[in-house]
Amino acid sequence: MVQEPVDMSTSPSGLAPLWSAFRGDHQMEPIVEMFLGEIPKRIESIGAAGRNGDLPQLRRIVHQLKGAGGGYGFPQISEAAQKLENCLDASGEAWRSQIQVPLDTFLKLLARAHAGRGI
Amino acid sequence: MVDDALPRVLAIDDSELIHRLLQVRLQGERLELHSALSAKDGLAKARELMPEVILLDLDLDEMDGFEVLDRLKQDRATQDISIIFISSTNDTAARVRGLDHGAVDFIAKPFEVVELKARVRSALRMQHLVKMLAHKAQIDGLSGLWNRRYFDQRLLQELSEANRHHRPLSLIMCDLDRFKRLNDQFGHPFGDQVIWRMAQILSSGRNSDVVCRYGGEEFGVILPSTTLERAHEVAERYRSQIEDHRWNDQPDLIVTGSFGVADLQFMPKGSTPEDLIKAADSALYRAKQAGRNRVELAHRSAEPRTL
Repeated sequence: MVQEPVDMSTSPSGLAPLWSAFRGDHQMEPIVEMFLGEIPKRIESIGAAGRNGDLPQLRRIVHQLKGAGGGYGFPQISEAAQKLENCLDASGEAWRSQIQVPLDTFLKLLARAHAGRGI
Repeated sequence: MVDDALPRVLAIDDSELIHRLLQVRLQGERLELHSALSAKDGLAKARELMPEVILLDLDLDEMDGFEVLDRLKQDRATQDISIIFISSTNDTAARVRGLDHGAVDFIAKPFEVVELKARVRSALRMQHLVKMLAHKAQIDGLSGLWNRRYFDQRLLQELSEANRHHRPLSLIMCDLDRFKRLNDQFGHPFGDQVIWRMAQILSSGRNSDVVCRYGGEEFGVILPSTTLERAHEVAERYRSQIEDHRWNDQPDLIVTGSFGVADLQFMPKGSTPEDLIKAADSALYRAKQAGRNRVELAHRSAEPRTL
C-alpha cells in the first residue's frame, strides 16, 4: 500500500526564538544546549517517520519529547507533544487527517527552541 | 549491617534525554545514580547493583513497565527494592495499577526537580528503615551478635557456597563453663556482663567470620574458607582470651569456655547444616567431659567429602 506522505516542511527562518526556562542556569545550560543541538536530528527523524508512515517510531520520538521538554525548560514542547500524541493515538488511519496542524505547531516550537540556541 | 556507602538509585528509562536530566538534577544529592536504557538492561543492573531505589519509566519500548515492575517484585533478589515509577501518562488507573503492583511512589513527567528530589529522599528513608528493621530482627539484644535465626540461614548459605566452590567451611560451637553457677553466685547482671565480654572476644576475629549467639550461653562461629587446623587455632585463641580476662567486679574469678570445632571437609558428602552443628556440638560435649576449658575437634568421617 502506498502511504500518503505527511507534509513535514517548516520555515525556520525568521522565527522568534523560544527560550528555555533554565536560561542562565549554569547547572542546566550544558544539557539544555545539548538538547537544542540535537533538535535538527530529531526533526529529521520525525520527518522520516512521517514520510514512511512509521507510526510507532513517530509516537516514540514525540512521547520522549513530551516527557523531556518540560524538564529542559520547554513546557510548551511537552504540551504540543501531548496534543500530537493524542492524534497519533486516534484509532485507525484517522491520525493522518488530523495530524497536520498539531505536527506543524510542534515542529515550529522545536525550530523556535533551536533558533534560541547559544544566544 | 547498615553500611555508610552512598545509597544507589537506578533509573530505567529508554530516553537518553531523561538520563541526562536526572544526572544533572540529582547532582549534590547523597546518592549514586546509575542508568539503564532498556527494560532488559534495567533488570540485569537491578540484580547486579542491588540499588536501594529504582526510578522506573512505565513507557518502555520493548517491555511494558508494569511487566518490569512485576519481574522485579517476583525476583527474591530484587523484591525489596523501593520502586518509584515515572510516567507522562495522566491515567489514574495506570498510577493505581503501579502502586498496587508494589511501587512505593509515582512521579509524573515532566517532573518538578524539588518534587523528584523529595520523593527519592523519602523512598531512600523508607528503604533505610526497612533495612534497619530487618537487621534488628536478626540481632541478639544483649550480645549484639547475630541471633539463632540468622545463624541457621547463614550456615545453610555458607554450606552451599562451600560445596559449590569446593572450599572448606569450619564451625566453632562454644559454651561458657558453669554459667548457671556464675549467675547464681554473682547475679544475672554479672552473667550478662560475661555474655557481653564473650561476644566481644568472639567478634575480634576476621570480618568474614559470622559470630552468633546460639542459645543462652552458647555461641556459634561460622568460618568460611577456613580449614579445621586454622579453626582450631582460632578457637584456642578465644579459649585463652576468655580465661585470661580479668573482671573488675570479681578480680579473683576465672571464667572459661569449652569449644568444639568441625570442618565440612571431613564430613560425609551431602552433609546438612544440622550435621555440621551436630559434629561441632559432639566435640564440644567431649570438651566438657574432658574437664572443660578445652578445644576438641570433631571426628573425621570415614568417607569425607573431597574438595
